[in-house]
Amino acid sequence: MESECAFPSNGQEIGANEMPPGAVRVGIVGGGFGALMAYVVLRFRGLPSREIRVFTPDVSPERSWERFVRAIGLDALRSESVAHFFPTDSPGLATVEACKAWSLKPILLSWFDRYHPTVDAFLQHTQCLARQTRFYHSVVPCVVGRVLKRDGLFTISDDQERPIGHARHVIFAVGHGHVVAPRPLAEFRETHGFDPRVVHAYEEKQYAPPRTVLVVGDGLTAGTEWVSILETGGTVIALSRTGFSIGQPLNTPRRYFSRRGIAPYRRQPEEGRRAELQQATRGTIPAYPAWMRLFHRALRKGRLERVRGELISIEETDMGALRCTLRLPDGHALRTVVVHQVVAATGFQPVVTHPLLAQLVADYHLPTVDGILKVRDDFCIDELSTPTSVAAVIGPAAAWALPSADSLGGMKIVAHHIATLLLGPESWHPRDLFQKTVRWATLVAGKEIA
Amino acid sequence: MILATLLGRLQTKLLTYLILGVVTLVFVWLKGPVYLWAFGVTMIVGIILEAVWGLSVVYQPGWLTVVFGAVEFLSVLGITLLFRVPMPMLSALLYYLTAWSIIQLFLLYMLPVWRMSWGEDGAELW
Repeated sequence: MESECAFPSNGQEIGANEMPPGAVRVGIVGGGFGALMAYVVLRFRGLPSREIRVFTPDVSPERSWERFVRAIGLDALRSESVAHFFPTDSPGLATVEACKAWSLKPILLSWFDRYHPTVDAFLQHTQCLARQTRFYHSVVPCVVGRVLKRDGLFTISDDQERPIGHARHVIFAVGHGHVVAPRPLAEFRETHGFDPRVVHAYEEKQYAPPRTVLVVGDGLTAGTEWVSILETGGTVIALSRTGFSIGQPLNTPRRYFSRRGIAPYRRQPEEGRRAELQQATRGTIPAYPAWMRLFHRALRKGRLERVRGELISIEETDMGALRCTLRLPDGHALRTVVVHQVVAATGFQPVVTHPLLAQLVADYHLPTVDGILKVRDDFCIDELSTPTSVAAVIGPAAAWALPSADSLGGMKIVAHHIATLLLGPESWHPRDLFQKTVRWATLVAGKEIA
Repeated sequence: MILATLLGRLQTKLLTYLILGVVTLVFVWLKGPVYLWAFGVTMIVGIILEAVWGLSVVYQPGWLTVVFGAVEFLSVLGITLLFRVPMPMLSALLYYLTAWSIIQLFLLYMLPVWRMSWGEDGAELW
């Protein structure tokens, strides 16, 4: 990908010789998947673990993701074979599983884009990579409240404004904003307190015995809820403001994982980019054959109804059911449905609502568009980056530069690019190829890299 | 998952000719210079077909790679028959299958390690 930064290309880490005592070269703020991806790639490119600090309240990079997927009952990823934490695209998880099981089936499935790693296998892989790269050794357990730049160095402070670390470069890997709860759900809770009949998809819930459930949302989480409800014999009323898009295999269209799609996206003026980004990141449901069979059967039997509109109120009926009022797409017509349960699968708030990013936006007057940070196409925050000290973002915060930034494949693209910025471009020198091959073989063999 | 650009396809194809060259040298050493003809034909057919795929295919899943390999082999075979290259079909198949398999293993497992951004760069190498 094209770089807009005028950084040295001699393979030397920029500013490495001017480090003050006590500071590290790279501080990663956040400890989820984006942080792990950036960490693994930097380690693979040769940066020692002592040169990186990960500032996060949770030492486990997979914990919050696992909580979400367990809550919705997801047992396999939407992602395909190459969605993993190996710093390179190879080997795919299909190859890893094929070698473990002595079976060609995962590889054949991946040829047809039908291989999806199980959540358990993926979590095991994540923990292995974190251990092999010494991620846990670099973690500084804390809640980061503020990051300030002074004299070409980033000062990372906790939520009490006490400095807890200094770094030459900083990578923000803060993940999503807070979970979105539709206003009627929040209002219902205000009057009734917590009620297991009105929940967010990421909260614990039960669908047995079979009942009628209103599922608000149109993405993978909503689709997974439909499946859970239908499989227990229940009925689904699915509600979306923008309509349902079923059939897209990945979270974002494939073209956003390659220069072939990324370059035209970036060439657009701001308005065009904004419209394309909205379209690219809208909720979609993959067309897994088993899901499609289940949905078609349920549609035929009247156990699945898809409604376009907006939830405007939830009231309890005398019979203990829930009366939900929906506003239909014309903006005026109302429809009432009576259900036993309401589940909001409505995703996350815009990334700049994350307290740390909100603070950063306020401190440095960073530009945003629709709650998205306007980062440069090299994933750097312009106002905080200089040729010798870089502030970059990974994960959903990088969406302005890369529509697929919220996915594992997108995070890997960002991590590769950040590693190039900090450590120089990859070279074809036989020594470098040999070192990479050795590190890759070490990781694939399950050993710790130096 | 590769969505290669046309330039990326051509650059990567040229790189794989190094492997094809080494395989050819081994075959020449073992069985004779007739494989130099096969090498030349495979190179020319390969780069032309790669340009065609680059202009007509956006996303290439694994199964399509096998189909493209078969089309390339049949094209090479057709041209060698047309120009009466004295090579039995079984030998041609063995030569092509060996070279194709090694190249695919290299593209799947080694090149993404040596060039980490190969996939996201649309298979462009320089």
